[in-house]
Formats: sequence, structure tokens, C-alpha cells
Amino acid sequence: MSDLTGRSGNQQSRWLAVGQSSDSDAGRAGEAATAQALIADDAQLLLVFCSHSYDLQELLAAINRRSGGVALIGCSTAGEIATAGPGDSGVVVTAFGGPGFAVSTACATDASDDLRNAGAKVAHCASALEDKPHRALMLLTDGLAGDQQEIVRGAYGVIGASVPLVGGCAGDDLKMQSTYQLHNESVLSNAVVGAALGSEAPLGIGVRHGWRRVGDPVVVTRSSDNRVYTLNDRPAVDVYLEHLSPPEEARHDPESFTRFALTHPLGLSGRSGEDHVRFVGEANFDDGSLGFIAEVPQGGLAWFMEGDDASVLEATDAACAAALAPLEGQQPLGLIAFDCIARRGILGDEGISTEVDRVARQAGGAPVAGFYTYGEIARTRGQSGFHNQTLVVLAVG
Amino acid sequence: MAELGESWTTQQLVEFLSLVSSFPDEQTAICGAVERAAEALEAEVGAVVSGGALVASTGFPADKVPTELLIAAAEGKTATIEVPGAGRCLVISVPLEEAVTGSLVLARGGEDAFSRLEANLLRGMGRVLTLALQSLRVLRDERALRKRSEEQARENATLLATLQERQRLLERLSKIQRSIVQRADLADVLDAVVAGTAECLGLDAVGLRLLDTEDEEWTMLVASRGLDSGRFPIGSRAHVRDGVSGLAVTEQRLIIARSDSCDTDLLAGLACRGLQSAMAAPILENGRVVGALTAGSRTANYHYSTAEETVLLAFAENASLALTDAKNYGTALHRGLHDMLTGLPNRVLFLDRLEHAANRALRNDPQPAVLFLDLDEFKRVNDTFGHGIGDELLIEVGQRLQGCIRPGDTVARFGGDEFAVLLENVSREEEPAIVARRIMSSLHEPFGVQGHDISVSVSIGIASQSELDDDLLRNADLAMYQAKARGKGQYELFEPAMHATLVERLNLERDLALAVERQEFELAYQPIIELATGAVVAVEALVRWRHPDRGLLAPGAFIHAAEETGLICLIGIQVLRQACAQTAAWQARYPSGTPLGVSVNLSVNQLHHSELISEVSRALDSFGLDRSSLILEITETMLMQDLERGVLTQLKALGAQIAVDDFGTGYSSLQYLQRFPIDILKIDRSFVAGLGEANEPILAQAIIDLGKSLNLRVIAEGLESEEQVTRLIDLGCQWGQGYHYSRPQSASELERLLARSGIKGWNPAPSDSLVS
Repeated sequence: MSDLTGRSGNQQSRWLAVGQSSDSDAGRAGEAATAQALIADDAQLLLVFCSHSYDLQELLAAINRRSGGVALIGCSTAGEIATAGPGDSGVVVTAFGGPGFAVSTACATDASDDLRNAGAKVAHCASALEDKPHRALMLLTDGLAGDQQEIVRGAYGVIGASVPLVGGCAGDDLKMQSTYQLHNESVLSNAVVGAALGSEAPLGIGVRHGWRRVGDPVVVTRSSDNRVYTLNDRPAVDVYLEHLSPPEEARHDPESFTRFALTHPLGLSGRSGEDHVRFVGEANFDDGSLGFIAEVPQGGLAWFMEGDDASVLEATDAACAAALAPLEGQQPLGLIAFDCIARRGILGDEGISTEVDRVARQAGGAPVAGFYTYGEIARTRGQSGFHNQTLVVLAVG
Repeated sequence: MAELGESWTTQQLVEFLSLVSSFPDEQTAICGAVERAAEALEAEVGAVVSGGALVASTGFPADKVPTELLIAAAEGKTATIEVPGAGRCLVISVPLEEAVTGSLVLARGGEDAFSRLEANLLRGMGRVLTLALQSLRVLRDERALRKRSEEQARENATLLATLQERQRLLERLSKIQRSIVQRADLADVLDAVVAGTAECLGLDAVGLRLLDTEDEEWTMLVASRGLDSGRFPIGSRAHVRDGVSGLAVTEQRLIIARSDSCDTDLLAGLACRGLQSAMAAPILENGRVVGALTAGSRTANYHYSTAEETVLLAFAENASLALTDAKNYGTALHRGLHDMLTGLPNRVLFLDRLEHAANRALRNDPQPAVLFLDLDEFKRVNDTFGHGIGDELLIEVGQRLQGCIRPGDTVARFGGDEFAVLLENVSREEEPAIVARRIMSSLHEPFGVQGHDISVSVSIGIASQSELDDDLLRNADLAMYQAKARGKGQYELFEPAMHATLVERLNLERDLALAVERQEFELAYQPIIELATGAVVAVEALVRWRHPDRGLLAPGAFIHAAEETGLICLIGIQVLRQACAQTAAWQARYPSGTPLGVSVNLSVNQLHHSELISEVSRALDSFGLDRSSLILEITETMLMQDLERGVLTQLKALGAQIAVDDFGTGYSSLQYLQRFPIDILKIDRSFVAGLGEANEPILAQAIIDLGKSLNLRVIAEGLESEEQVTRLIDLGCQWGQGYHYSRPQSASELERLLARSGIKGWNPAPSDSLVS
């Protein structure tokens, strides 16, 4: 059974369908989800979001067998999203089809050696794209490979403002060991995969976080790349713990710290007072430093942040509305969500069901796909396009 | 908000500094700088252009960079550029102070223009980039030089030293800027600037002097390194024009003084500090020079390199940043509660004190009272002497007011010419009135402002607390309003009935606005007569308001409100058009040798209205009225300024004649009469009233003679008896108007008179007045 499908009425025909399976056998799951998604024989791109617990080689082989080798990008996740709701240990396959779409894909391996170059290399696929009035470049990256903003800078350096960026960092169910990126028949790690998507209809992108500042700002007095050593000239961990009063065990146990930190990120102030949220990944209790997923520049002003169900869900609605705005009231073919794992941490299992329901309602009957990420990518204005603790929604018109 | 903005700017600059200083070579530094500048300002496009060539850019697809367009944008030749994916983007470009002309340029989509803060930030980034590039070039040049040398080991050591030096400089600057963001103690920050300068330049002595805030003829040493602290302790003073730092302050530029290139006075100053040479950079606070940072050497003929100059300038700039930030932070609090001009508390602080006083009064017996003050005719001071003198006067008024109250009481300025006084503990009922009288007599003493003696009259409203929930300020305001209405220079105690007056006034203003819309104004006409023959030569048009409920109202009931609301201009236009239309009709029906004249009053507001000339011209043309038959009446008080003279000259150029109404009651001097383009004087009724009796008609005679000698015609107003007419004819006055002939009447009523008495018309040429 197909999860749901969306078809365009006018212009050159386009369609989008989502298939899902939580079968624990990789081959059967891949086969089933792909079968649901392929509602016609002119699919152009498959988007695969799956649990890292599968034998990914086997999963990919089953999908390709079924699709006959349709272009594919995908990644492992920290939870998959489909119209019916969120799930773990499963696979969600989204198919883009019809002559109204144009697709070009690329991948770059060994990303951590030169993140910027990896972003640039993948972005070149946009120049190979057949000419369509609306375009976007979707990037799926390894969030554990280093400063993700560098990947965005690399991509921006190639395509400039001409093509908006969207996407997310692959996950591994919060094990924080290794994540996987999928490109056609290859299972990769420490890689960037991308698909340039052209369409006859608008592709809308919405970004919201839903966090608020707590207390006074702090100055990042010593940092290097993704590590912050001191805040206000004192050990970063001490300052963090003082400002936020976490439960006792988070004060010495790294794992409880990470759980607490998931819902208490750092906000860097931007031009219009808007915060760029940075996820606090871990604490080193020996040297008092904090680890982040992206660069935290030295000398900057920052705030600690917190959120709750209401603020996170408000952000969900707002992100969907922003993504749908360019469609000017037209029904979307589908919505793709890149939802930060930290938001899942706040909402809990019940809350994320509510959240996906809300996204589905905004989709107005069109299918929904997505995954819980280790970092989100969205660039529609300016040049900064890497986000943390954020929901990014792509509305496919 | 502004403060958040300033600290955001400083913070972005610190981040930028850390970043740029981390790049290993020029090209990556430039590319990284462009990218970060664009990210900070959320711009889609960034570029560096140097020596007319594009060096780096971001925001366009790599293979489609519009080089020429970006160069044009950098050179300021285009304000916007089209960017694929971002649409039309606004451009901002700042110079890079390099050997060749360069610019750092950004372009951003959307509606937001780049703010002043953002422009400042980008300029700061440009300067940081320049500095970083300079030190990178030094490094590159040295590297090239050393390559030729065999001494590989020494090269490495020196390179390392240069690198460390650069790193030290940027770390120093970064640390200083961080302490500014953290609002460290200003003295500490300035000391850090001096210490950093000494360390990075490695010179023998460094000093930072600031102007003495008490007396700006002197500077004070604020921080130093390497100076003899016995002879030059912190706080020691020097004349503002003394020495190298003095020169940097007075000339507002970098000064270098060396034994072979400067005068002996400077060298003597250096010598007493044990120095042979020095350079000094000015320090600014909010753009104003307030001091200098000076570094000197004991070595003879020490040569200061460009890099050393840049370092000194960079540290001086950081001192400026710290001073500006401290000043703005310190004054922001004060400024929020005080009036900028006078330094007195503002409305916010006044209300706060009033509330406290009222709360205290709940517990104690003495009650607070509020005096609301408004200077009379203050606008005249500004108009006559200019705003500079007006502002100075306001400052002095504030000072005198403070002299009139007890130490615990408050004088506040609410803006414009409004002041308020809070008397905290009023034990006797008559106390506020005593203070009011004291204030009035104090302000009455002329103020000597820039050589002008100006005395000020003030209207004061007084409200004392009688009920718990009294709004003292509003009540005092109402009472002040009443005092003004009774005539200027008075005080008035608040009474509850004043509320009713206010409501009435507000109703009047509302009705008046409706009346303009519905054209409820009618004209009454009073004939102007040739005294010798009794023939009508002209009519004066007088406005009446047919109020829907209150019937026909005379001008006294509404003109003041019309003036204050500015509606007078619209009413004036309606009056002018009606008068022109009616007169044109009469001229057609009762043809005469010279056509019937019509006289219309202009208010000062109308005279200042930009549309007046075109409206008058349009009214004349619409009804085909002979241009010379229009007389425009102004009052003496309008004969003050060149502005008005210009307007009158233009009106005259249209063909209209200018009459001065109520002549003799104001203070026109002969000089004004000569300078202004005037045709007619109208003798005020007060001079005519005495004519029938035995009084000597000295004043009337004087005005008539004055008219004759200046070749002006004279019309007497308020004629009530045959005797007055006879005397005026004897005195040589040819024309008059008044109840003796006719009261103002409606157009239809006046027609009977026109038919009966005949029309002689108004000859604009003044020559006939000379004949008699």
C-alpha cells in the first residue's frame, strides 16, 4: 500500500509519493517501501531515510533492484518521519517523478579532509541540471565530520545565491559513532551527497527553531573550531552548569550531560537579533571544555537557551507556513522535513507524533517524509545556511 | 536597542579580527574576509576589488561572476545589482586603505537598507583586513628576501618572530575589544591600550592623554609606559597645544616628530622626556577629538615604518572605541531621564518624582504641587534670532528656574518651550503662587544671549493635590492653558471648571475641521469709502462661520482655534476665493472707471504657507478678477523677517496690493515700512476714536504724514461719526471705513448700498494721493 501520493494537475506533470516499512529485514523493508513509493514508471529521484541498524548494503541493493537504478540519495537517521507519523528502525522512501522534475546527483567522500571542497564538489551537480524555473540543492552530510558551515560555504562558493540550499546531517540514533550517506549504489560514511532538483513549480523552504534565551549573555573567550574552552574567561563547562542548573548527575556524568544539553543549546546572536542555535554535543569535565557540531567563533557573544513543547510546536507550524508561502496557496505535492533530534528530545515520543500530525495537516493531504537530524541546512537568504536544533521544511509545489 | 546594536557591532568585529588573523596568506585572508563580512551582514554577495581588478567574490555561481558589475559596485557607480536567486540587491562599499585603491563591497537582497551601524561595522572590517594584509605582505616580502640568503635557520627564527609578533598584536587588540564588550573599567581598558602599544611597537615610551573635561585647554596623562613617573605622573597636565600629542589633537591626524623634521619646541618637549622622536595618533569620542596616543623612541633618527604607524592607529582606534562605548553607555542612562538641551530632568523622570511625592503625601501632611510653564511667543525668538540663540535662551531659562525653587524640588523640561516644576512639600496654600510670581519676575529680567537682550514672559498653570487621584500634571496643563487664554504673562490656579473649558475647546476644534470640509464659512463685507465724495472704492471681506448649532459666529469665536490648529490656511483660501468671486461679480454688474477693490486679511500662518502664492494666483485667474483690485491685509507684527518680505514681494508681483492693518498698535519701525513692499496703511480704530473730541490728533496726523512721505495711501478704520470724517479730511486722509458708513453686511445686503452710493473703484496708482 502506498503511504500517500501527490500529483500535479497542471504544467508538465510531476508526482511525489512516499513509501515506508519497519520490517527488520533490510531486503524486505527496502523492497516494500520502494514498491509503495513507485506509483508510476517515470521516477527521477529516490530519497531514502533509514535506520543505521539495517545492513545498508542489502537495503540499497533491494531498493535499486526494485527501482531499476533510479538516481538515489539518502542517509541514516536518528528516526524517520512519514505521513503516518515518526518511527525508528525503519526506512522511508520518497520518489520524485514525472517530466516536470529534473534531477542531478553527486557525492564527495573523505569530507573531513576538506569540508569546504566536499561542499563545492557536490554543488557542481547543480550546473549539470536541466533548465527549470525553480531549483534547490539538497545536501545530506555526515554531521560528525566537522564544521558543517564549511560545507555550506563550499557549496555557496560554487552556486552562489542562485540556488537555495536545503538538507540535513545524517544520524545514528544518538550513538554519535558513525553516520552513513547513500548515493545510488554506494553506502558511504564521512561523505556529502547531494541532489540538485529542478521543478516547473515553486520549491519553498521554511526554517524555525523555537528556543528562547535564558539569563545574561556570555562572551566566548577561548574557542577553537568546534570546541569552546572558556566562557567569560572561565571554564566553559562551569559557566554552562552555573547558568542552567541541570540535574545533579549531569554535573559529572558525560552521558546525562549530553541528554540535558540536548534541550539547552547555545545561541549566537545574528544581525537582526536572531539567534543561530548551536547544539552542545558533549562536555569534557577534565579540561572544562564544551564540544559543538559546528564552529563557535572566539570573541562572540552567546546566550544559553531553553525550549518547551509549546515553543517547539509553534516553530513547527511556522516553518511549514514559511515553506508553503512561495506556493501561493497551491496544494503541495509533499513536504520533506529535516527535524533536529534535540527537538525530539524536548517533545518526547508523544510530542513528535503531535508534531508530525501538525506537519501532515499543513500538507493538506499531501505526503510527508523526513528524518531526525544531527544538524540542518537551509539557505534562502544571506550566506549562512547551517542550523542546529531547528526544523527545516521543504515544500515541493 | 541601539546599545544592543553597538555591542553586536563590536562583537562582530572581534570575531572578524580573530578570523582574519588566522589566515596564512593574502588570498585566503581576502576570500575569508569577504565571506565573513557577507555572513555578518546577511548579504548574498561580497567582493574585494583592488587596483581596479576583482580579487575575490562570493554569491555568484563560480562560472558566472559578473566582474565588471562588481567593480562598478565597488566604485560606487551603482547602488543596486541584480543577483540570480536573490533579486535586486542593495550595494554598500567601503574603502580598503591599501597602497592601491581598493574596496570591500557587499550586496544584500530584500528591503532593508544597510544601517549606519552596519556601515560602521563594514568600515571596521575593512580596516582590520587592511591591517592583516599589511602584516601578511611584510611576511611575504621578508620571506622573499630571506630566500636569497643562505641563513636558513635564522630565517626561520625571524619568520617565527614576525608571526608571533603579528599574533601578539591581533591578540592584544582582540583582548581590548573583548574587555570593551564586557564593559570593563574604562581606566583599565585605556591602560591595556597603552600596554599593548608599548609591547607591540617595542618603543621606549608610550602615553595616552585626554582632554580635561573641566577645561579643554588642557590635557591629562591617563596612562603611560616608560615615562618618568616622578616627573610625569598619571593626571599630570599639559597645555592642549603642547607637544606631539597636542599637535595630533589640534590637527586631528597622525603626527611624526623627528629631530631632522620638526621644530625646536617639539624637540624640547621630547627631550625633557628623554626622547629623540615620537609619533602621535588622535583619539576620538563619538567622532570628536578628545586626546592622543603617543609613542616615542630614545634612539636618534628612529625611522617609523608604515606598519608601526598602522599599529599605533589601530590602538588609538581601540581607545576611541572604548571611550565612545563608555560614554554612550554612561550617557544612555542619564539621557533616558534627562532633556538633552538643558540637562534638566525630562517628562519621564518628572512623572516618576511626582508619583513618589504623591505617595509620600499619602502618609504625610504636606502636599505636592505642580507648576506647568509655557514661554509666551517663544517661536518669535526662534524666528527672529534663529534656533541657536533660542536654544541658548532655553538653557538659561532652565538655570533661572532652578534658582527659583528649593533644593528638594524639581524643574523639568518637557520639550519645546514647556517646563514643569514640582514642589514636593507645600505647607501653605499660597506657596505655589509665590513661586510662580518669583519665576515670572526672574524670567522678566532680560537675558543677555549673544549680545541680544531678550526678556521672556511665561504663562503658568498651578495645580495642588486636593484629591487622592488628582492628575496634577494634566490639571496644571489646563490651568496654564487658561492663563494663556486670559492673556500672556499670567498664572492661573486650576479649577475643576477648566475641564469643561477644555472639552468646549476640543469640540470647537473638531467642529472647525468639519466646517472647513463642509465650507460653512460666509463673508461679510464692509465698504471702504472715499471720504470726500462718499463713493465706495473697495470692500473689506470679513469671515463669519455659520455654525450648524450655534448660528453665525464672529471671527473672535474661532480664529484663535483656527490659527492654533493650522486650519486657518484652508479657511483663508476659502475666504479668498469667495471674496474674489463676489467682487468679480460686482465689478461686472457695477462697472466703474477703475474697478471695485476687495481687501482680504492674511494671517501669519498663511504667509508662511508654501501654497499661498499659487493659491492667490489661482483665485485671481479662476474668477477673472482684475489683479490690481486685490488688497491683502497683514498686521504689523508680520513685518519682521526676510522670509515674509520675500512672500510679500511675490504677492505684489502677482499684481496685488499690500495693506498694513491696525497700523500704529504694533512696533513697526520706519525701517520696516521702507524695506517691505507696502502700498497702504490702515489707521487703527483707537487713533480714530479720539478724533471727534477735543484731543489733539497727533498720532493720526503722524500716521497720515508718514503715509504721504512714504508715498503710501492711508485708510482710517472705525469711523463712527461725521466729525471724525471731517477731521480726517482736514488732516489729509482720503479713505475710511466704519459704522458711520456701514457695518459689515452680507453680499446681498451690501448690494443696495453699492446701487445707492455708486462705485468709484480703487485705483492702484498712488499718485492721486499726492495730488491732495
